Amino acid sequence: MYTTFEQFAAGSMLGKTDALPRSNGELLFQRFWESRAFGMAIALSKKGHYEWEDFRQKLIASIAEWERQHRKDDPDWNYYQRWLSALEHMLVESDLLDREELDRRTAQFIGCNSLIQ
Amino acid sequence: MVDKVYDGFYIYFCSTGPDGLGEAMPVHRVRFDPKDIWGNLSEPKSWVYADIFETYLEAI
Amino acid sequence: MSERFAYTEDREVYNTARAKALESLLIEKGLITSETVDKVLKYFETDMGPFNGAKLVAKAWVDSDFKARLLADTPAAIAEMSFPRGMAGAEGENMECVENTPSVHNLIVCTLCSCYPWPILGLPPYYYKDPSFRARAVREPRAVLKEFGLVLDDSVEVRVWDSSAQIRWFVLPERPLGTEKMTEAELATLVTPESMIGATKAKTPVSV
Repeated sequence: MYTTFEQFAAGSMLGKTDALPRSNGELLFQRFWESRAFGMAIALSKKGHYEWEDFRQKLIASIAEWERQHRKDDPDWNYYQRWLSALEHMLVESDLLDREELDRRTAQFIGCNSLIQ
Repeated sequence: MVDKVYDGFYIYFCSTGPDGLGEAMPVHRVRFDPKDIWGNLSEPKSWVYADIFETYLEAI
Repeated sequence: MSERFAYTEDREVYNTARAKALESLLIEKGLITSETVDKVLKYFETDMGPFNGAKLVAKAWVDSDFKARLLADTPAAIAEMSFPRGMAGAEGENMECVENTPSVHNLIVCTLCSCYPWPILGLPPYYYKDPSFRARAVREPRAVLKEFGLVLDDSVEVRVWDSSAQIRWFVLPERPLGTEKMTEAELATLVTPESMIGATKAKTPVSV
């Protein structure tokens, strides 16, 4: 029903942190697409295209939606999946992006083979 | 989110001012014992502090 | 957003394509440049991370006046440290520090999402964002702390602070014993991000 965190304590005692290796010792993201989604959301807010608080509310809603449909320890959980979903909603709602054009462009990228980082 | 003030909750009145969305709505820092919401727990001496917009609170 | 693929591998392919598609469209529309995202990421690698928080705690440990200022007016005390604030706007406002003592242990959680004091801790670790942690930290903090390897006596009061509104809480961990002769820089190496969330205590000199 709930994830437990003993493995975190064990790793911590061995000197590891849960953050993955960065350039100065740690990384921030497990996958390339996660870092891009993160960077885009921050950048667009900094540039004034939407209020950060509005994005945060979208993220909260996206997380809540997942939690309604899953058990809390479901391994399907991916935080940046929620983030990406929130970002899309934010952009579509702000009229900065059309969902159809994003779908088309996504399909094009899937068609190419240069995807796996 | 707490949508009702329970007996035994302690309210610290502290408005944190506008949150960037335009209107200043008072926020109240509520302290509650998890047992008051999730009664089947048995941990001693634990408190949760949450800031809740006034609109979510009901005076009793 | 509906999932198109049921399986993990397909989902990764899909997410990668989606993120690339999104970035390419945003660049075409002139909303960002091809360098924008890299700049943001670089900032979080070099300027905004837990190394800032460690410095802050070490200073509070050696300078009791600074510690008093930190607890009384957290943003003002942090401003004294001149940490980079470029990306801070998002999660860098309204930071508040709570102090751990032998009789009070504080734990921070954001029950709704992942609110975190970026300027001093960078981005949150995976457990902080996990649905189970976010739910269990408020319901049964002592059990959660035990799993992190921290057992607290029943006489210690546990306070869980939910950062879901405006305030971004963080913890000033207790200074470990046996550190009287350590320099500020050495003390900073004992301060882990977990200790500033309250999931653990700071490291002891023996374990460094």
